[in-house]
Amino acid sequence: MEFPADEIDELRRVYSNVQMAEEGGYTYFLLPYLDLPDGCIPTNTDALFCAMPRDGYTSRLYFSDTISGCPQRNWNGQARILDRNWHAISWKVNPSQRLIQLIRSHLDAFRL
Amino acid sequence: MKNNEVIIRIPRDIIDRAIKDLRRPHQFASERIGFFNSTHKILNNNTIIIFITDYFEVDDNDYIDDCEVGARINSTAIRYALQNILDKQSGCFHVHYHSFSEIIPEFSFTDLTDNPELIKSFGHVGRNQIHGMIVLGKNGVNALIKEQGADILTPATKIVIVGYPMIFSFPNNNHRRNSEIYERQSFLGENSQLQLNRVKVGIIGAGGGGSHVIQQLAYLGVTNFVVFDYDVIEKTNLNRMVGAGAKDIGHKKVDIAERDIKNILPNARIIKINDDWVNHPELIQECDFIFGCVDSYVGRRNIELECRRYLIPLIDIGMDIHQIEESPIPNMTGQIILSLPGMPCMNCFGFLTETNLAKETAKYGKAGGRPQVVWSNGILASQAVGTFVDIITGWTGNNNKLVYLAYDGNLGTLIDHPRLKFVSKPCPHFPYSGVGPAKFKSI
Repeated sequence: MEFPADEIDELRRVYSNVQMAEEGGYTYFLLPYLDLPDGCIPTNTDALFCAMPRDGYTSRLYFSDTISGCPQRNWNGQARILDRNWHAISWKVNPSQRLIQLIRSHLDAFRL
Repeated sequence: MKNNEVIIRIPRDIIDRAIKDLRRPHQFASERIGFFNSTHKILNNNTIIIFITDYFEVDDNDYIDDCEVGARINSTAIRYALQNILDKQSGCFHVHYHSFSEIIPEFSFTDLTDNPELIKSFGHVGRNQIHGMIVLGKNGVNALIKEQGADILTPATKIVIVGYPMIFSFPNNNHRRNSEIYERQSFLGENSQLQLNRVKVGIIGAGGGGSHVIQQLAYLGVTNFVVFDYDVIEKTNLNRMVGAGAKDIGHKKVDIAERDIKNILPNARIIKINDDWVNHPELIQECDFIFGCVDSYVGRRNIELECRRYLIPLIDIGMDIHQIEESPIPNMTGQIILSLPGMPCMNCFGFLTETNLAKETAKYGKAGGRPQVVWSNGILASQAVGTFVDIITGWTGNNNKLVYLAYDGNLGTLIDHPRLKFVSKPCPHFPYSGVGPAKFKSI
């Protein structure tokens, strides 16, 4: 899937080590050691961002670990994507946002 | 360190393309040469799996007229191959065709004296890759590989052409096994029992559908099993899980599967995993064939993603009994889908769609006990096993067949799904560039 170049640039500026891959018709952005909101355990973790509809969510942020120390969430997404196991919570965000805003909206779920 | 096994998987369409090219006559060369691109994975048990992902030919003008050998190529062709290794960060295999080989082709004296230097130069350019040489024959393949840092070439132990039918080559050990037990199924072909004996089959889900599959595979003489099921037997399983009885309540389903197999084949090799397969992915990656006997769309997708990535054929079976609003009679349906690398996937077939996945997510936690019965599980599993046998032995002569069967339990029919007519091949969702360990690119 193609994303607007300015949104990709913005993503790269904020997450300098962001990488991309495709699998099964989906495009994913890998965000290594993504810093999580204050209070989260762990403080950072690898995350995988799918900015297109998947499993009934318009976009989804997957984590390599489940996260604690934050509001308790419904971890209903166990997925094997790109050779790795990922976890996701049930969290819907407004799809009419830029890529960077979408990621922040997903992270809002973990803010106290 | 000694390797357990060196497995090479080659998609059928790539090998067809290679053979078509290699059999073309040349102005003066009596053979042709080509190159395979590859990627690989070394498993924790040191098994090496090499995945062939593309083929490229040598230009007609890049052959040297040399009457001492079947084919000799010039430095332009070799530079092109080396550049290809660099550009694609890929492994490279020198490949040619021996039309005179009836079963497993052998490398010629010239192959064994001239080519190792070329393979060595591949290793200088693609240091993190595995390179080698492959010879194709009419009914088999042989290969030698050069591991990273190794001085000598190592023979492949199993080469699999992944398609419908599959072709297995075991260059080091091709002894046929004849047993009176299998006399009545000898019509499957003279090598069929060897193939069934050697193929490593993974079954994900050893419940209603999976238990039938496992039992039938054991009767056929399949001896290498990897069985996954995280569940234990409950009372509600006893209406359909073959091999299980009242005394088995509370026991792990994989233990019942093992007991069932051992009862039929005492010497079978069984790896049983009482856990979700995603926690043991390498056990799947090592399998030659997978049966997916799971209930959910998400579960199916996870399995298909793994199978496509590691070039493993997958047969998915499933059934559902649901109520249609305007009818008081329950509707029993089911499906058998073959997901073969290069061929249409479950998304292409319109089965594993975003709509279905979204509906399933919306129902999360509300599912409850789903209706299931023994005979429909048995029908679907039996036909799935029949498809598997055809793919492994090729006994019907079917070629590149697509399988999407629709079961109607109310009518008692199992027919080609109407969507088969509209599916396009090849599959756009799983290109071969996505085969092997995942690779991310910086943006």
